[in-house]
Amino acid sequence: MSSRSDFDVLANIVKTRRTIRSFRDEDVPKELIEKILDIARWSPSGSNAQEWRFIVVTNRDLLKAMKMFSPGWLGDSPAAIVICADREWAYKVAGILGRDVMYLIDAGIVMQTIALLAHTLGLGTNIILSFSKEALRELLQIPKNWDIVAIIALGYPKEIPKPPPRLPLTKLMIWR
Amino acid sequence: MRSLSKTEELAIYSFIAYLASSARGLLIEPQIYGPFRCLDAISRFIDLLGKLGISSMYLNELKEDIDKGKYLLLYDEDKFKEFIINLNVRLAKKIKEYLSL
Repeated sequence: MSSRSDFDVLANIVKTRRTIRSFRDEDVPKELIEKILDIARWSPSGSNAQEWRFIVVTNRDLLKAMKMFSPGWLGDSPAAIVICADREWAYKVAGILGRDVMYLIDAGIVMQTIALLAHTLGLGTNIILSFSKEALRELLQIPKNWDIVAIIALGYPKEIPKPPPRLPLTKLMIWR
Repeated sequence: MRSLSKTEELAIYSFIAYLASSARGLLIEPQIYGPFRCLDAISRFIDLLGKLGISSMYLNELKEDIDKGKYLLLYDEDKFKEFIINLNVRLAKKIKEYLSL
């Protein structure tokens, strides 16, 4: 039996994950990316809609082109997962709330799962929201009904930054 | 006027795409991202110059400092602002020196 509780193990994973902006020039095996996404799809979603969709990009030229239109993408990563949402599907399953609100929350949940799983495998991630959606749509030929939510840059970290400050719990929480 | 190689042209388009997509993003992004993008643009511009065969020790040092300084935004916004102000003073001194003022 492990001497560390599940809580301790998970707490350590959560606390040691960093946003990585500098990656080694080393390919991430496709099996690892599939393994991460196969588990990440077990994340919770509103009305169990599972409206998240993933575009995995490993083509170096395509990554370079995507990066040109993504000011928030700092550092070269050998892979990226474009997180999309099928909002039409979300509407079918969860109505207006699903289409207009939930899809973003669900994307956030699945992205955290991906980031944590990647971290356990020694991979670094950077969740990027600063990019030109229109340019990415053109580059990646994304299905019409998929909305782009974020890009997760993925690769083996070259540098692990120090953790940025966290607000104290007392500022974030109240009891009633 | 010399003609550009394909690599040089791509580097130029890449820089222009960065500026255009920054403009696109800044329509909706936090105000403080503007100064960050400007700093990052200086760094990328120096990179671009390097790819076009223009470089100097001063520019390389400047880029190195900016690449460190821009990340202050993540840790200490006041220091980030201070860095930008000092950068302007530093550049003004350089121009003064260049023009023998």
